[in-house]
Amino acid sequence: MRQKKHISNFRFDEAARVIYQFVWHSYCDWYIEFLKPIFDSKSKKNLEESRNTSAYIQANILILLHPFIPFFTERVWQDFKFINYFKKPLMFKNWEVQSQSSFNKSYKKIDWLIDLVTSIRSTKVDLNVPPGSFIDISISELNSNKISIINDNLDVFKRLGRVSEVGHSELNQNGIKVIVGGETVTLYFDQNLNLNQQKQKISSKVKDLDRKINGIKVKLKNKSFLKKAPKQIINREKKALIDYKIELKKLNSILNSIKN
Amino acid sequence: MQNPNYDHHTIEKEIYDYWEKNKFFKPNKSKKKYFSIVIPPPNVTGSLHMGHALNNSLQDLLVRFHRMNEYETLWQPGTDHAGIATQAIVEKKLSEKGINKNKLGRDNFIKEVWKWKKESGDQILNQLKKLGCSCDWSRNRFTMDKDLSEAVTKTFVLLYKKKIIYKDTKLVNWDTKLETAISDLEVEQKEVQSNLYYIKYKIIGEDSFITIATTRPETMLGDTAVAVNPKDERYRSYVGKEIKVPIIERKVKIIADKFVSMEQGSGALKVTPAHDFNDFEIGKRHKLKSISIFEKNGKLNNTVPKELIGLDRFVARDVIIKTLKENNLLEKIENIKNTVPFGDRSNSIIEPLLTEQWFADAKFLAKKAIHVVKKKKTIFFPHNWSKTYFQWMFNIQPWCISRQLWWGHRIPAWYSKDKKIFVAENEQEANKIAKKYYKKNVELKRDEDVLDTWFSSALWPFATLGWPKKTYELKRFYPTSVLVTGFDIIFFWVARMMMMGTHLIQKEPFSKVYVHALVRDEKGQKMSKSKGNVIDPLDIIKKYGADALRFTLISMAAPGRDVKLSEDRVKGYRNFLNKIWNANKFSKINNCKLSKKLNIKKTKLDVNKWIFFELVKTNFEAKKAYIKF
Repeated sequence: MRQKKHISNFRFDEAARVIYQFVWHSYCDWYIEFLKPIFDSKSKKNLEESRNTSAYIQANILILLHPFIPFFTERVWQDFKFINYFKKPLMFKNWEVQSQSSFNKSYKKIDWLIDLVTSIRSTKVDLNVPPGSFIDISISELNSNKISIINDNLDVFKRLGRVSEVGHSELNQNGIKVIVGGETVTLYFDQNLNLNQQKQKISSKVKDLDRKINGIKVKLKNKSFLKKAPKQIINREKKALIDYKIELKKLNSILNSIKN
Repeated sequence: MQNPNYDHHTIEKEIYDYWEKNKFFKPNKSKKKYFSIVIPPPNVTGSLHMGHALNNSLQDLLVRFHRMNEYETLWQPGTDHAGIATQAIVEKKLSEKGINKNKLGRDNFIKEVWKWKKESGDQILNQLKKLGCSCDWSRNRFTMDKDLSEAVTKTFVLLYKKKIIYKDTKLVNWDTKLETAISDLEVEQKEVQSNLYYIKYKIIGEDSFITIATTRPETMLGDTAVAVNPKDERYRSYVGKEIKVPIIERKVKIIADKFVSMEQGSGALKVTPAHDFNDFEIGKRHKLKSISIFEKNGKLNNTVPKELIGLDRFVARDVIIKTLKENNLLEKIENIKNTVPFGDRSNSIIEPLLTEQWFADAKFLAKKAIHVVKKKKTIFFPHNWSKTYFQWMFNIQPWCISRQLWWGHRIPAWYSKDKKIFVAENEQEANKIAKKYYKKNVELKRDEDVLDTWFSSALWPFATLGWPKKTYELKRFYPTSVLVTGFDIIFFWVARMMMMGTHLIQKEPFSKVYVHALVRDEKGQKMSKSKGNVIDPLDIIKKYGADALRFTLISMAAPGRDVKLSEDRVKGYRNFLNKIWNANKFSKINNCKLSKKLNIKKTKLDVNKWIFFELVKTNFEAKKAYIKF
């Protein structure tokens, strides 16, 4: 039989990167957190499905990582006796997974939820609020689709976002609007939080960022700098510029949403 | 909890034993596709360094991926006998015990080498196992094994019959300490401080001199011309005249040759065809005599004036300079920086020497090797290496394949008393041919020399698979799928395998050549003992485990970029393992098990669908790194 013609890419650094991202961030940082309330709950059906799925994902992580870290993966494969399910030693388990295109909808939903939680967390950081503190939110401006995402995953969302109440109407107090995927959610912080004071703090941060951004812009227009500086330095400046701009945009949007 | 983190110490050995015991590294016969790699054979004298660790982590990654995905997969391991390196080590060991190699004699010396190999050789193979390499150790080969030696002899006889291998008298890099020809690879060009001597040569029949500049004044004893550039106005009128070489008072001609640089030194060049590669070419163009002035040990021979015979080359230099000074023939001495060739084993200055050696017609062999790369039967990654490959192949010189050593494949050539050469696969055969030629039994003496180590390494991809026998492995796994190599040996090794493979098997030895970069320290500096910035892979494996080292090296191996390694990086990836370890503990506590009832299609919860979708994406992206359909 003729060997299937293929061209190797040899981008093992890329393979390492995507697997690392998946394992560290998607699996460890988010999925396990999603599982905790499910495992604490009493729904037998949900429990069984989640135990099965998480074990399946875990096994597949070992499969993806085996060529990179063979000892570790083999050890865990044996620990969990995955051979009983896959009927193969890890060293001979192929990389096939069946793609489920119908899962795309759920994927987008959870992705949005993750963005929302991330946004709540980073707003707390910007406002100097302890990350562990609970807040109330209002979802009155959300469309029904997004509302149902929150309702369907209410326990998980409350736990990860540190949210105590999810209200459907705006409260009569100062709130901060965050925009996630084009949809607006209002966050209500403790009454003790002096928003005006925070506003000043953020304003001074904004000024500081403006100064830094202008500094880099001037540098990057300077022909003799571009000519003489090593490429790494120039790239570092360019990257800093992008990062500062993103930060600035975020702070400005918070500033705009603080009502007086 | 007793053991909060992953502990690699006991685990790695246990796991490796389990793999070996179950013979998991042997190819699994499959009707479908195959995947094969031959290891770049480490020197039998070697110990694992970071370069090996990167090279072999990448190979193992590829091998494991394809083995998992149902390719019939072979990773062919082995070691190289490393002629000169091994001989030097054993020689040194013996001399520490007060034993002289020459007194011991050839056969006993070789026995000592084998003894050394049994005791201390191959330690690198155990180190590769520590790294997790899944080679089929049952097929382990050594370039001096019986099978491989037979393949070497057969190749020599075959190429000799086709007149691709021949004997010739040529200039070679000569190591006067080890008394052998050595390859370009074994020559290290070092920048040193030297004296540049300006010496006056008297023009015969005139009262004037031409000054020549040289860093090696002793070679003037072998001068057979003085050359100037034909465009050089200063000397135009002298061309064709005769000039006297000082000390030996030899009359030589002043010739014009475009090679001579008008800017360098005085613009006039002493020509010593027997001891300088450029001069040798000038000599050929002008049909000059070549006069060798050195013995094989670097002492002056009997072509020179009596008082100089037997002097070491550097002693002779001092004597000559003194004499020139006394005769007012030394114009001046300049202190300059120049590059001087040193033997990398002996650290002795290399002397180009005119000797009779065996050569292979590399120009001829290169033709097919160029063709297969042009036709993309062999593809280089990153692609620009093929340009470098072509450049070198188009300028290839005859390959000097004989070495004046004892440890190696002895050249299968026998000589009769009247110097007739009989090349055969063994002595019996040689006697038979000689008998036929002389019509009677004659006494034959075997060539004393051995072959360049790269000659046997050039056969590695097919000799290890069984060639010249028609084995299953040769049929199934050749051409091998990919060669993973550092760029430093593309010419010395990769090119030679390409030449031999395309000639002897009529097929390229690899479909792809993946060229990886160097491992440097975190600041991008080359690791070296003198800088004290060497990171020893075995230390790292002990401290953080083989997996952490592998993951670090592989994630940093972007094409064409050097790996800037630091211990902190390894520590970081070690944390990654701990993170997964803890996630696994979470699964265990919560009783996560795979049951036969799992039906992914029927998944209900958004989060479970989400993670599954993420897995599919990751699986697809990761596969793309290995294979692009």
